[in-house]
Amino acid sequence: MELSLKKNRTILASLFIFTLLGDVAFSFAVKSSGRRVSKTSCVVSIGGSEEAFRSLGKILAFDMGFSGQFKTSIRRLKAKNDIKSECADLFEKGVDLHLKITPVKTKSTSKQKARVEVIQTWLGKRAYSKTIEFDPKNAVRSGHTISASVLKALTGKRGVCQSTLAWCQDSSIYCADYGCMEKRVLVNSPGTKFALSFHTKAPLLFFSQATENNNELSSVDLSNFRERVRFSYPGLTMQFSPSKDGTKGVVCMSGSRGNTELYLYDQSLCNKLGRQAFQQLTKNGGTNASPCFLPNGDVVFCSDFQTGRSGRPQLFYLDMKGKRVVRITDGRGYCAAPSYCEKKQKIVFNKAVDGVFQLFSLDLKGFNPSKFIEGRGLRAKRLTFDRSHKTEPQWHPDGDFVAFVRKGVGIFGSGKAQIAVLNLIDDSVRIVTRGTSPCGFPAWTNRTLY
Amino acid sequence: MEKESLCAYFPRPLDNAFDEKSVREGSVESTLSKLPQDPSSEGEDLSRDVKEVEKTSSKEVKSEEISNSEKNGVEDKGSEKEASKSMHFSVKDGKRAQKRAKEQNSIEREVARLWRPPPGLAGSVECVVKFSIDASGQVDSFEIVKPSGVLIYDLSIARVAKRFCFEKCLWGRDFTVDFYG
Repeated sequence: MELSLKKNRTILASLFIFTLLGDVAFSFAVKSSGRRVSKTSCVVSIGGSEEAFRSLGKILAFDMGFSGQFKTSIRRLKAKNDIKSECADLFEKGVDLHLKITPVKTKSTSKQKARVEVIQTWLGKRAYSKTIEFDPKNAVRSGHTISASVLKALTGKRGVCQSTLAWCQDSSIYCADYGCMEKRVLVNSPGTKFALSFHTKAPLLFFSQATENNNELSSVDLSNFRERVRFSYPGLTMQFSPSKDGTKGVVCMSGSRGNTELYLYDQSLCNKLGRQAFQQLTKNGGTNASPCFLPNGDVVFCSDFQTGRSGRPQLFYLDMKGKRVVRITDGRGYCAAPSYCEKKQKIVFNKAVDGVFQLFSLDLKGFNPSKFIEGRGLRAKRLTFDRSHKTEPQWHPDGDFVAFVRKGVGIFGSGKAQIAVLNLIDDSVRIVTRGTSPCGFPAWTNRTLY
Repeated sequence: MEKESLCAYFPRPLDNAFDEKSVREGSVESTLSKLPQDPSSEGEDLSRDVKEVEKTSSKEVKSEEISNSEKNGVEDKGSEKEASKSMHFSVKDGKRAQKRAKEQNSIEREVARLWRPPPGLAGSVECVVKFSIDASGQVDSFEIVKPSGVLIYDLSIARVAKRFCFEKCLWGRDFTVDFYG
C-alpha cells in the first residue's frame, strides 16, 4: 500500500510540475509605464437644433479634452445610421469612442431632456448610457455633471469637472466652474482682497481684506453669500489654512510687530475658554507665511528667518510633536507659496529660476522630520519651463491639476496676470480667465459651490 | 512498531554507507524482526512483501548511484523517478528559460512597436488578454480575459491587438499577456 501511495505521489508531483511549467510558459507580462502614451480619440455628435444641446456637447468635449486623456472633436449627429457600420467607419478613421447626445421628448416646458451614450467603436457596444433632464439656463453645471459621470465610466476618475474655482480680481472675489464658463461675484466691496482659501468641510471661502486700520480675515458663505469677519487684530491677519476636519487652522498674524508669525486656532479650545485663542507656533523674527496644515497635524510654510531679509525665503516643515522646524528646500533662490496635495503627498511651490518664477514639487511621502538633516533639502522636481511667471500655485485635491497665476515676461509681459491651470497628466497649461484686469490668488475645491 | 516498519521501506540516508548486500540482508532482516506479529497474517503474504522490498531496494541503490543529489551529499528523500527527474530538470530548465526569455523579448518588442497606453494611469491598472496566433504569426483572435476596470486602458490594447505580428517562436500558439501599470 505504501508503494502505491508513493507511486501516486510521484505521479501527482510530476503533473503539478508539468502544469506549473506549462502555465508559466504560456503567459507573459508587459509593463505600461515608461512607454509613449496616446490619448483616446473621441467624436462628440450633437443631435437637435437647440442651443442647449449644442452647449451641452461643447461642454462635454471641453471637459474630456481638459482631462488630458482624450482628444475630442465635435460634429452634428448624422441621420439614423446602422450603428455597426458607423462604428466600423469611425474605428477605421482612428476614433475609439463615439459620444452621442440625442434630444429626448419631454413634457416639461422649462427643462430639456437628452440621452447621452458612449459607444466603443471597435466593438459597436455601448460603454455608457444615461438620460438626463437639465435646465437650459444651467447648462454649464449640467454639462459638467454629465462629464464627471462619463469620465468616471471611462477612466475611473471623475476629474475636476465639478470643481469650483475662486480668485481675486480688482477689489472683488469671483467664483466659477473650473473652466470659468459661468462665473459670479462673491464679494464686491471696497478694499483689496487677497489670499483665498476654502474651508475643508463647510462651504466657506476665507480671504484677507485691507481696511483702514488693519488687514482682517473674513469669510463668505457660498450657500447664502453672507460675509463675516473672523479675525480682526492689529496688523496683518491672513492665509488661514484649515485642518482636514475643519476644526483647527493655522493663520499668519503680525500683530503690532513688523513680521508675521504662525498661530494655531483650535475651535475646541476656544469653546472651552469662551473666547478666541491662538497658540503661537513660530517665534523666529522672520516673515512666516503661506501655511499648509497637513493631515498629520504638521505645517509646511515659507519663511525668510534663516536667510534673513535677503529676499530668499525658503520652505520649512514644522514638526508639531517634535517641536522642530527643518528647511526642506535647498536654501537657494526665492521659494514661496507652498500648496499641499493629500492624495499625492506632495507640495507644489514657486521658485525663481533665471529671473522667472517656475513651479516645482516636493515629495513628502515617507518624510520623517526627526531624522531629516538640513542641507540640500528634499529633491525638487521642476514642473514648468516656459518663460512666464507662475506664482501662487494651488493643488487640486484630485492631484492632477494645479491652478496658478500666470504673467508674461519681457515682450509677453504686457498682458495682465490671469489664472491658468497646469494639467500634470499631459503637461498642458490652459488659461481659464479672460479678464481685462489682473487676476490673482486662485483657490479651488472639488465641491460644486458656484 | 508501525513507524519502524514503514521506515524500513525508505532508503537510508546517504551519510550511512551501505551496499546492496546490506540492503538485502541487513535492513530486510531487521525489518522482518520488527514487523508486528499479526496472528492473522499468513506466511505467504509476508514472503511476497519481502520480495517486493528487495526489488525496490535494488532500484533505489542504482538510482542513488547516478543521482546528482548523491554527488552533492544531499539527503535523497524521493523515489528513483523523482531523483532522475531532478537531473533532467536542471538541463531542461536552462533551455526552457532561454526559450521563454526569447518569447518574452519577442512580445516586448512587438508590444513596444504598436501599443500606446493612455496617459495618467501609470501604476494602477492591469489587463490580461489572451491571444491566439495563427501559423503565420498574425493574431487570429484575442480576448480580454481580465479587464482593467478602466475602459480607455482596455481600448488602447484592443485598438492594436489585431495588428500584432509575432515572431516564429510564437506561431501557432495561444498565450496570455498581462498588460500592467
